[in-house]
Amino acid sequence: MDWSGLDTTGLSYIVVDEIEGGMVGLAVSDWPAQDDKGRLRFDSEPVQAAVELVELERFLALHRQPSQERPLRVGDVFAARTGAPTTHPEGWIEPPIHDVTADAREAAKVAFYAAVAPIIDT
Amino acid sequence: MAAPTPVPSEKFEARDFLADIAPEDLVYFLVNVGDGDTQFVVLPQERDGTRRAIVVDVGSRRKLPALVESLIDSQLLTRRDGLIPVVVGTHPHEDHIAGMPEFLDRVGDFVREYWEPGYYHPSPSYMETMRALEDHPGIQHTQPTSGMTRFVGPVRVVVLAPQISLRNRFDSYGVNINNSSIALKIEFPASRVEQRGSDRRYLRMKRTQGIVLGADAQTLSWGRVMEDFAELRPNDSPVARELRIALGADPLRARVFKVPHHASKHGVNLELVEMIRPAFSLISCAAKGRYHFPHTVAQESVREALEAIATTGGPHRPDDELGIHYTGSTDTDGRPLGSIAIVMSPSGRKRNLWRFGDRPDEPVPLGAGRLFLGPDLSAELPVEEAETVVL
Repeated sequence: MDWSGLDTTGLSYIVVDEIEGGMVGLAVSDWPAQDDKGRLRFDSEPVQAAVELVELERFLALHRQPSQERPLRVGDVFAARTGAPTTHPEGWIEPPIHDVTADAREAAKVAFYAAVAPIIDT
Repeated sequence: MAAPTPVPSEKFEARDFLADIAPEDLVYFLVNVGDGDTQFVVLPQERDGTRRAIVVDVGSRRKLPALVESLIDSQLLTRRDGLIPVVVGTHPHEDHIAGMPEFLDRVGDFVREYWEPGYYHPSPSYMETMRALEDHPGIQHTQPTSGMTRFVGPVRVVVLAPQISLRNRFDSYGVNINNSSIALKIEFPASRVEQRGSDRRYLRMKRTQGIVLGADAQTLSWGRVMEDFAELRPNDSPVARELRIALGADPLRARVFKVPHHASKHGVNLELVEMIRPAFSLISCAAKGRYHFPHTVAQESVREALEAIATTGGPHRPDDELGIHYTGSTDTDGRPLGSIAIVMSPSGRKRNLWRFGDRPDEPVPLGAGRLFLGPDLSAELPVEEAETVVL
């Protein structure tokens, strides 16, 4: 997985898992490794964090790379350095925040199809 | 949010949970994992004297594998091929599949089939679940939509949601992930044929038991469910009677209802609960969760559907007297009530609710079960509505 050329050393993998009642549920984990089959492996259990939606959108508007103006969506994925989560993103997510949603969605599709259908050897 | 009112301690009595389970009974577990879902349905004993089980979501690590081990140790389950014919990951939110990879890694050799809605989610648990499935190529992968029916031994499992039109919109981001949820109705007994010597006859079954498991489906999805599975009961026309015969039951009527989405305000509405008319409405939620479930709007909808007072005024009875139970609630002595189990007989005469006092990070102590001594709401329903009737 290339992650669009991003150096992911020391970064956390942050997924927007749920948006409910003004709160955003994030699943935060160490950056995944790849096993010998090229599969992404998340060895540690993700930490589930809840942050204020308005605050997160404001924070992303300032620090998202590449810059995009669109509402936050379930399934968005970011790469950033993180500390211990609180409800206020600026207190534990360190800019810049790299938007890797497209790569992550493709990784999810790779994981899915490798599970359900034969892999084509070339 | 309105925190559940503590249930009077004197409404519980310590008894032998395992001794309550007869061979023909089904046992439904709603495991306390906080704001998340883990459900385990132990099916009635089959002719070979063993039982199988269905898993619906695994919202945390360790707890469900430990419960399965306890049930094997207690000889309610037997380690056997096909022990778990179906595992359902209703939708790929962390609070529903965080424990799925570990569960499949540990128990996958006994699993036949995995159901999920087909919603790609780039989360660690989704990708690890797919990795675990890749490592168990013997597990059949299925993406069911509404109407699909699977007969598993003595039970019938009907998929209520998602409707195919929702399924077709998943990849366009047009559908909220909660509305991709697989909602199920489990009905038993499914048997309709009686063998007498060398002859067989069709049984006109009068009573069946139903459990509706709502996952996190919200208003959009439930609207489609009520369209697909319209209530037939009030209509006594010949056509409606024929439909009831064809469908085998009123499609949504059920004795046990796992309230969708932890009783968030978008997860349940009055009409849905009125159609289901449950004796037990079960809500999985943390004592103090991140999203402040359950929501007062949802709680009031369930209460009003079970006991209409809007036009007459006055307060509702306490939740436990309406059959509403929360995994995150406590008794009046401050003890957590924890995981819920319901032991159901095929006739509906037995419908016992048990609590185990475990916190989300503790195993389910089967030996510490307390039987709930509250009323069974079905006794208050008119006879013809008390059970599903197959004409």
